[in-house]
Amino acid sequence: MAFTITCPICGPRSGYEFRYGGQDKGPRPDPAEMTPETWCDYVHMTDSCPGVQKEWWYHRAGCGIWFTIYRDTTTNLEVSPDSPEAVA
Amino acid sequence: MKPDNRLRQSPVQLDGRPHRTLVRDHWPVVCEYADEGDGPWLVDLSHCQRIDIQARPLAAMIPEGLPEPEAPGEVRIQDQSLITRMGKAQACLWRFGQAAAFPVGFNGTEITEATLALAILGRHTFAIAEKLSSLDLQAPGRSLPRLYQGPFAQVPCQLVVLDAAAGREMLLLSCSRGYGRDMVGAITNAGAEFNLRPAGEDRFMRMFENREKGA
Amino acid sequence: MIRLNHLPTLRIKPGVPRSFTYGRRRLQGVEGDTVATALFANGVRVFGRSLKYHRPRGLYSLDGESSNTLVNVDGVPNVCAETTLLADGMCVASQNAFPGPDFDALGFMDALSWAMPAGFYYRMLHKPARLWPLAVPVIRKMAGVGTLAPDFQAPGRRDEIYPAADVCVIGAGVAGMSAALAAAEAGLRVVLFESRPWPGGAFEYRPGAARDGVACFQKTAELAAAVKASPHIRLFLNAPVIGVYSNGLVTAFQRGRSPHPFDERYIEVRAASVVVATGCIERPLLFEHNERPGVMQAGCAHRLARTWGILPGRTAVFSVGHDPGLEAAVDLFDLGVEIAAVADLRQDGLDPALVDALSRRRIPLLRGWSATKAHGRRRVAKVTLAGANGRFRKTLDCDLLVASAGFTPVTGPLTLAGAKLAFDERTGFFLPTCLPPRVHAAGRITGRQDWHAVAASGRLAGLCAIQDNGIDQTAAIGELADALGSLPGPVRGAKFVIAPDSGKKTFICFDEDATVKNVDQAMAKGFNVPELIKRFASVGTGPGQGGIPGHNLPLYVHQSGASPDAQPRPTTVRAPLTPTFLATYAGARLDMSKRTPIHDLQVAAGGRMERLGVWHRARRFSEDVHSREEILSVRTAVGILDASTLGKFRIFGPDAVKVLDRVYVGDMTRVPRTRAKYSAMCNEDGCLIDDGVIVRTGDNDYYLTTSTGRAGVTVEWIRYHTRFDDWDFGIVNLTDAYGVINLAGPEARAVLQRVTDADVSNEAFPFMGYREFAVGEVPLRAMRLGFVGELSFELHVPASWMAYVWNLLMDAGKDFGIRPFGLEAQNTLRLEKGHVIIGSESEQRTTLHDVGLGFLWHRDKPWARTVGDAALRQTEHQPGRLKLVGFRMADPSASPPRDGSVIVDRRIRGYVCTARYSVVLKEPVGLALVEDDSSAKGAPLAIYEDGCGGRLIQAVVTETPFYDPEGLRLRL
Repeated sequence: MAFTITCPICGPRSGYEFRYGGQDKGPRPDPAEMTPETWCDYVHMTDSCPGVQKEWWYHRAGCGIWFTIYRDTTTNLEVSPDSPEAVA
Repeated sequence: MKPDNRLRQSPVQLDGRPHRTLVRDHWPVVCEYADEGDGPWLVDLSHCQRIDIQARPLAAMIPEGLPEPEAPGEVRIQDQSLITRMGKAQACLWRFGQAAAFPVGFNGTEITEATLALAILGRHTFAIAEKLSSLDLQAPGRSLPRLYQGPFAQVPCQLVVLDAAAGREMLLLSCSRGYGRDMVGAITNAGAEFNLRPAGEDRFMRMFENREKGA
Repeated sequence: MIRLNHLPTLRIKPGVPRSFTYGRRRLQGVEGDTVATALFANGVRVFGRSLKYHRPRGLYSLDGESSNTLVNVDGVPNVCAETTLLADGMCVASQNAFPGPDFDALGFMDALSWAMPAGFYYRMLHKPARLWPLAVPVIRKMAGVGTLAPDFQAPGRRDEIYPAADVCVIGAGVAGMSAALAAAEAGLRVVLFESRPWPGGAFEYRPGAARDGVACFQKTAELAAAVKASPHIRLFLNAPVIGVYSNGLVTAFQRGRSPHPFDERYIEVRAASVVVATGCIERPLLFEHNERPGVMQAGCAHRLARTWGILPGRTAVFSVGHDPGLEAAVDLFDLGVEIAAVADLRQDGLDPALVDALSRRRIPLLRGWSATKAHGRRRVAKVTLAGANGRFRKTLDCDLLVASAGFTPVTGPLTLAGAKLAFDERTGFFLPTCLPPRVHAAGRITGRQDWHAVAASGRLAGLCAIQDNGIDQTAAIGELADALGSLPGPVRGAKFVIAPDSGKKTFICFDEDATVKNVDQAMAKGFNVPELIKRFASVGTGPGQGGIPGHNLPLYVHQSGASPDAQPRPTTVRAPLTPTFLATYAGARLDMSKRTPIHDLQVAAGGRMERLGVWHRARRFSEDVHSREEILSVRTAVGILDASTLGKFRIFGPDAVKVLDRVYVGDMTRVPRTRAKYSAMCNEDGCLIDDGVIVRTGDNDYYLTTSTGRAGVTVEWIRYHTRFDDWDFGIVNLTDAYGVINLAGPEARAVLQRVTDADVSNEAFPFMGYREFAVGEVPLRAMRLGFVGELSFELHVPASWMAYVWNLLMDAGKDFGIRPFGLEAQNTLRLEKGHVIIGSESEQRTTLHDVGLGFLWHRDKPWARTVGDAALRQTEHQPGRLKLVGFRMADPSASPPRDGSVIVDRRIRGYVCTARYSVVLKEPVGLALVEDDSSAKGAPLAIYEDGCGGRLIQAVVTETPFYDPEGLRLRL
């Protein structure tokens, strides 16, 4: 966690100030269309891809908001949301 | 009717000999400590009223007459009140000294009891701070006063840099009340090499009045 | 010893003595001495004995590259004498030598080296296995460096510091200082780390002239003065870097900030840009007995004289491979050292001015020659030199052999930062081929050795650092890069690795006593990459962190032809780059904890406090670990508990109820105004994570409690599960805003009525009711809850009033025998009622259904998309789950099984969550999680308790609550 995370409110901070919230998988599925399998996928399965991932972080030692960043999981460096690699 | 001598208790006890004290709204307040020295100082401001405001839009819920800090991190001061912008829809109101208490509307929550408030003042203030926090409290190019939300002595804090001019340094700090003893211990230990001493509210108010008044 | 006291480069104050003891000797050094230089000045040549062979070891380098000079200082073992400044009154002692380093009883080990080939431990001592326990104590006694008492307390004060910086420069040599000054001129904040006690690096002591004719040390001193004068540069001296990480994170520590040598400060910097200007160390020359005391590196010999005013020997032979080595020979000759000969590995490329200087002094220069063997038992007495082909030889008397194969760049920080290194043919260095963003290398690390070129490359890195901070420097960078091109480039380095005839006692690693023969043995076993050989033969795994063998090992392996790589490949470097005390990493050792508003009152009342999570809480108020008196007072009279650590929150706003419905399993649309609603939160898996009450204090305004452990994460949890919804609500953590008093027992109402005007009768304030009234004029929130199973009032008191209200109640309760109770009593009381504590009666896998709280789940609110709802549906009738049951002992006179004991029936079928002796019921009762087919009433449970000796304890599943099953006492 040596890396830096940029909080939209507080700016770049030490990674230790944040809690990881996992890969961004979108809003909760609609219960009407949900099967045990889709529920399980939503809750437990992640892509675990090497490369750029959109993910959630919580600024627990700071402003207390959840936000997403794009991070290259191979370098632990943030990627600008405008860059071509940053696709959800 | 018997006199009302009920007393409230601050979360913070400073190790000094009070020279002058008063009671305000049942809070025992130390105005001045004996032998405060020439800085740096640590002041307990836990008795000062603090209100958390969460609203969308925020502007509508800020008490009348107070300016609105527009972006997160911005701080506005009006007389003896201070308002910090914590996020898109959150602000915090501080009221110092003798000023009348603010009414707490629906979108406000009084958090005076939930938090403690301290001020570190005078020379070496930021030398003490950098022993306790990796936050860049003196980043150049940022107008003062400014709010920082982050860890200080490992505890999530609201920190307001009021003034950074040499000899007039002022750093406000608030965190969960329960940390009172350990927070004061951490600051006192870090400040020992700079001869940090407790000071009364008067010194804070004097410095607050004389602070560098930026744009 | 008399010091040279006329040199302008001295860092000592010859007139300021420092006295210390070494073993039984009382010695004197001077201010500015390190422990090593003070010992050397007092004639100490053998500093200690080596790890395995107990060979004598002496001063070889001056920056802690090896373990040669590890000593015990003031009781602290393994202190590096080279990097520890001498303090008055220090007690220094040698290590791993008995009776002393000069005459060591285990010196014979050296003759037994044949018995300890590479991989000795792995290969020799594991078969037969029964020998290993016998061998361990012997090896422990004979090998190893320094001893540590089990109760050792690291001396010195530690703290930590986080200086803010835009640029971090590692190394305050000429390049580092130039980089720092360039960045500082742009107004950037620079942190500059230097591991030595003064800035200047390799040029700091050198008298040779730079290209403009001014002596290097002078030009360097001018730079140092400019650095000192710059308000933007913070120079940390005595501060070695520990690690470099992504995003400009650099960690370091600073030694001996005050008179105490063991005071250390941990330093952490996050900079937008990092400049690595760590320079070079010397590459050891490999020859037979290359670590005999009296053999030292050129920089070591030169600095001893120039910095500390100590002549390193009387008669010296030089075997070097670089111009600074020749410069040292000339300078030491001028200072009074007799030079018998200078051998230089290089045939050509020597600085003609230095060659000329040597010849003018009639010092014989042997080009293409090197030392092949040092003679002498405890100290060098003679040295054999040989030409490159080994045909021509010469043996010369001397007491000092200055030996060096050239330079090795200190690339550790670059590699840690993520740079890729490759072998460079010209310099013989591992040079970075690809630097990570915002990391720059400057100075001698790039192969340049000329003062001006080093300074310019530093300045260039400084400009790049400015650019990294968002200030455009393109033009200036281009200009300076051109200028640098016209200055001398990287210097050709000697490729020489090992002298002819070397092997058996040619040490590639001093710390681990590893010879080139050990490396050969490893290669003969089939190891062919340095990374593996390093581990098998223990090369570079000691305290010097690869300082001595780091470069020679890959070169040697490559030269042997064993390596599959086309080019030499460096071994991996890891943090810490410089070893230090673990205590230093702990820094100020902040252990931040919370205390309730009446912490001191609890302590004064005899509370035994313990740490639970962040809080200090009272476990009990007497010696009795079962808290029987406290339990009885609640059951029969009235008890008072500080429950301030309960999580408390306000949630308000137009969408507040949607939020509650999302996270609570119950139906939150129906929370009445004057009643507290009990509900629970589950995670996505339907597992119970929290329970508490919710109160509607106004329109769209709720007040809720959580368990103590969840207080810190509730805001996070709620915001996480609503992050896509854009709902309009506010949430405020009021945990610390209210102290909580639980006033419980049949007399609770009578006590409360004494201090309030409010009507607290059962009719006006029934069970599960919520009221707001004043106690002693203090407005508070009150609920009637029944966790402990008696009439009880939970009073939420503004924190600053907590002590006042507590004291009022204690006074009012005196006549009723009120007494405070703690967590132990509360635990038994609630157990008798069968109430669960999350974490005690539940674990990661335990669902709401499993603990019997399924009735809290409102299954018909799909619109809420409640967290855990899907899993609650799926697990509702799932067989094979662990269910929470109550049990009593088959024999009521048995003692309760210990919490956590397993329940067995051929296999493990569950476990005891909590079991206690019930004073009221006069028998033990307990709660257990057991497989569903054993959970029916009357089912027998066989409990295996640690230490039961195989005799299972018999219990029977019974209904809960054990106490007052109808709940009449709550509703009194």
